[in-house]
Amino acid sequence: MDQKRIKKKQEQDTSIKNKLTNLFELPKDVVLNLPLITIVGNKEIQIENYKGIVEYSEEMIKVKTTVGVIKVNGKKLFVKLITSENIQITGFIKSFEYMT
Amino acid sequence: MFLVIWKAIKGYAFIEITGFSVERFINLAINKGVYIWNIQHKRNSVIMNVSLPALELLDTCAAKTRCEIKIINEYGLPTLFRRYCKRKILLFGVILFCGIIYLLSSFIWEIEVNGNEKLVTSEILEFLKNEDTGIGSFTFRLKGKDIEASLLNRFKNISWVSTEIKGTKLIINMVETVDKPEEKDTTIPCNIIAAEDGVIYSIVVSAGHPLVKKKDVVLKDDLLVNGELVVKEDEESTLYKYVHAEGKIIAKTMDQFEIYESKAIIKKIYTHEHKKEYRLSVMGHTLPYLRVKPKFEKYDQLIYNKKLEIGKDIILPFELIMIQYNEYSTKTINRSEEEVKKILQYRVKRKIEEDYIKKDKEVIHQDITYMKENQGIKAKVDLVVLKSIGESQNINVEERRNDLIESTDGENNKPAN
Repeated sequence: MDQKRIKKKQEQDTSIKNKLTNLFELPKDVVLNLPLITIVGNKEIQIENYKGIVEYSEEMIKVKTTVGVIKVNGKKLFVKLITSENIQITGFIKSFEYMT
Repeated sequence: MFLVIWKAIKGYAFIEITGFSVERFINLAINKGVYIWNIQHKRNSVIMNVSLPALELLDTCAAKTRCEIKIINEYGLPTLFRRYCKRKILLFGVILFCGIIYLLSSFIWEIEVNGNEKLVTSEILEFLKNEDTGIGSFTFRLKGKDIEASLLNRFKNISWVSTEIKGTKLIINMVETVDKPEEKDTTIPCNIIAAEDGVIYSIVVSAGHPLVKKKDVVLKDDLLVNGELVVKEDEESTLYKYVHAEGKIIAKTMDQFEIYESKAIIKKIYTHEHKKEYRLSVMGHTLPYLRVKPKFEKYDQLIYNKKLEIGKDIILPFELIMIQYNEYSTKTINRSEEEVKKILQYRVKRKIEEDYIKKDKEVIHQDITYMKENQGIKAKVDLVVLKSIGESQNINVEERRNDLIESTDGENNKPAN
């Protein structure tokens, strides 16, 4: 019961936040802690505000974010840079998918 | 660009990680704030670059996630330093090199003197050398104020001097005083006499009694203006006053000079054959370096000097000298009379400009006659020049008075005898 209540409260919170950000047109990536994803052609993808790497191989990389896991498919994928806020993947990107 | 330099300074390692949960390892490492880049997947392992100071942190991460770390290679300054520190002689050499450079750059190797127009630079350098502040003296011992003071003491016509030590160069800036106009002692009585033969063109006298007038012909040593003035004259005695005769006397004078120019001239024709020789000079002493004795019969030497320096201000006592020998052959060319005359005219013009016009003399007439002589032509130039011919001559007042007394005595004595 408790957990359910907390979850409900959290949902309410986020919805209020959501409404406020919509009202004042604030940047969502900052206020709601959503990932900001930049894709350059099919060669580079940069994800800011990520939580961690779930799976890593040459063909596929799964990155955990606040909106779920993001899956990047491609060939010769290569993490060029990784810090606590930012991950930069280069290579030949085939697809990009939200796994919720 | 800056990132690359930063990485190189901090140092980084190229590591290989094997294990079951490499992803966890990476997450953990990043949470601890380790900077990781260039992650590559290779069959069963992951290769990545990490900064060197983070390697210890990675060990704990690896222990937690049961991964194994293998360092493939290390790059950067700390690694390089560690590697070369083991080579004692190399280290010694590097330190010695730095020491020698430091030692050599703490001497004065060049002195630059600016602003001297009448003083000769070599004289100043010689003086500095005698004062132990010349080339080769220690920079730390030099005191700008002492040098300035000694220079001011020694050379009276310096009005302001400043010194500056820039690297191994001593720069002396100075301003010279304007020469005092020559003061004429107007208390000494004198006459004005003619320095040359001529015809008086104009005469302006400010003190004394003029004895000649315009269009008079005067000879050398003729008295032009008398400094002995008769103040009072009566039957018994004459009273004289002696003054410093002053005036400007300009006369027409004749001048003459000759210039010879031969028809044949020797011309150099370069054969475009050249040889180079390199020498190294250390503190003014030349060491033969690569001797190439030219087998040319006639040659010109071109010497290029290159001072070795660090930056702009630190000059080392080494000098690279390159000598180039250019071979030439000579050929005598006979010029035509017209050409030689043209050259003569030009030379005459130059000579007049230098000898007359620059010395405040005016040439009012010139006459050039050409004469053939030997293998060339001689130009004989007759000039009529307007110039000042006055020359002061001191009067010995005592002697003059005695003379006068004697002569008057003589006159007085005559009838008595």
